[in-house]
Amino acid sequence: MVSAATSAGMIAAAWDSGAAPRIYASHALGRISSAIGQAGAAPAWSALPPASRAAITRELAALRGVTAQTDTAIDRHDHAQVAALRRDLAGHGHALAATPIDTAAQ
Amino acid sequence: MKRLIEIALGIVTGIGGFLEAGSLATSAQAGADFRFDLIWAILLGAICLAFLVEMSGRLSAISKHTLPDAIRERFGFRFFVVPLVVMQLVMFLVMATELGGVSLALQFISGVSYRWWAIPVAVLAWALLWKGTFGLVEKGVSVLGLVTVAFVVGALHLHPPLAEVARGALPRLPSHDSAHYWFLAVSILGASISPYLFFFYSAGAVEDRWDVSQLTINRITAGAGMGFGGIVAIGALVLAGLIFHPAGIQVDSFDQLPLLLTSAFGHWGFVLFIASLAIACFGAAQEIALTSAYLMAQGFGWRWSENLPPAADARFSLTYTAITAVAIIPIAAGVDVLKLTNISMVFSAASLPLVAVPLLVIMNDRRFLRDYCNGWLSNTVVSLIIALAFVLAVVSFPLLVTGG
Repeated sequence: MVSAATSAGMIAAAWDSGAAPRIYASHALGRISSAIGQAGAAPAWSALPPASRAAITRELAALRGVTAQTDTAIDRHDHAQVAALRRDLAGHGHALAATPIDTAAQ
Repeated sequence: MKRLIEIALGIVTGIGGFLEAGSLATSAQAGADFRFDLIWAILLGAICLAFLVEMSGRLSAISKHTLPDAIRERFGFRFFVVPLVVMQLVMFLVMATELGGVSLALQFISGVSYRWWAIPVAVLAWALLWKGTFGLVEKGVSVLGLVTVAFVVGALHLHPPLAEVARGALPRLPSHDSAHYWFLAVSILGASISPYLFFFYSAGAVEDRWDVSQLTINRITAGAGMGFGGIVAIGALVLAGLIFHPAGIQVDSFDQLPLLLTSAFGHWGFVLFIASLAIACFGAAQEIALTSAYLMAQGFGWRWSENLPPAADARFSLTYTAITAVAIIPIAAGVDVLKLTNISMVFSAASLPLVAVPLLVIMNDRRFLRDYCNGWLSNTVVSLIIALAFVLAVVSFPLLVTGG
């Protein structure tokens, strides 16, 4: 999902620079947002201890929210907000990568 | 001069025809996950393909037999049924993948889901087969496919570390994710050495009425065309290695792939990517539909030629109509095109022994090749390809489960 966050940021940047059209960027972000949603609901998380599961699903929900907001901002042609959300996407990607998973507690 | 034009057209056809949904997706996945480490797999695939394609062309030029025709005559109909059935299954999967590639390209520019594009794309491909000639399918679409050279130009534009790229040409063991590494190597080889290409090439040689005088052209176009085609696929891998790998991006959907060219060329990169994906996949879809029909017609002894009007070879025309119609189903049903691509490339790799082994026997049979049988180099290379093919056939399905 860190890959999804980075992809979403790169797609938003391509739209922001005029390299990618809105239709493509919006569709791709919609797909990524949906994939993050599915990942958040994956049964595999239930094998984790409650604290780790809560941290992961919280980060995934936040990442999905920012991806969806970026999609909306692109639809509104709001370059300033897209630039800000790109930073958020990167931040959530790093946060997700740094989320501790306590496998020892299983 | 006429020979030079023939050679140039043959090479252009090879370059334009090499890249399709499978080779593009597997190259990008390999670059994203392992940077330049899997370049050797593309090179190996291109070399194997060049040898096999050259042999298919030589067989047709000398014996006037196509490959299916020769397999049936040499080994009998009962044996022929096995590669016939397996190849039709593989071609159905690859054909669906290619229709999916064109449909995705149209989705990226229209916003309308690829599922809705499957039928219009298939109808257009079918209509061109119905109305067109072999030359149109072979050269027309392949010449347009030259747009895929954008991947090489894009890779050079980003100034890759050439020493590191060159090191990727040497096979090496993976430093991490072994199962995934070998799965991608098998997928790349499956995408490069697609057996349908030999059937298509051999039928094309008969369609174009090749004879002994074409052997040099055959050798040059097979070697240079597949070689340059491999370089285009390496271009896509290098781009993914430069753009996706450092960012930690894994390719899990085709919609990430336009970023390969937008990073190099901005807006024009997006246009070039859409054109490359649409044209390359459209051309491959037409070639596969024709190959399916060639295989049936040549195996069952029906009348066949893409240059005849459909009424003159009705069963041949019905076959390409049928596979085109059936291949719509997975795409219209919304199957994930990237997953379908990976599965079809593994099936393609696993089917290789069924074609390579009979080809080796036939290429040493003087009843077919007279004085033009394989020399020691060709026999050594094909024997190595067969050994590789058996390894691929054995390991591909377990790797699909563990590394796919």
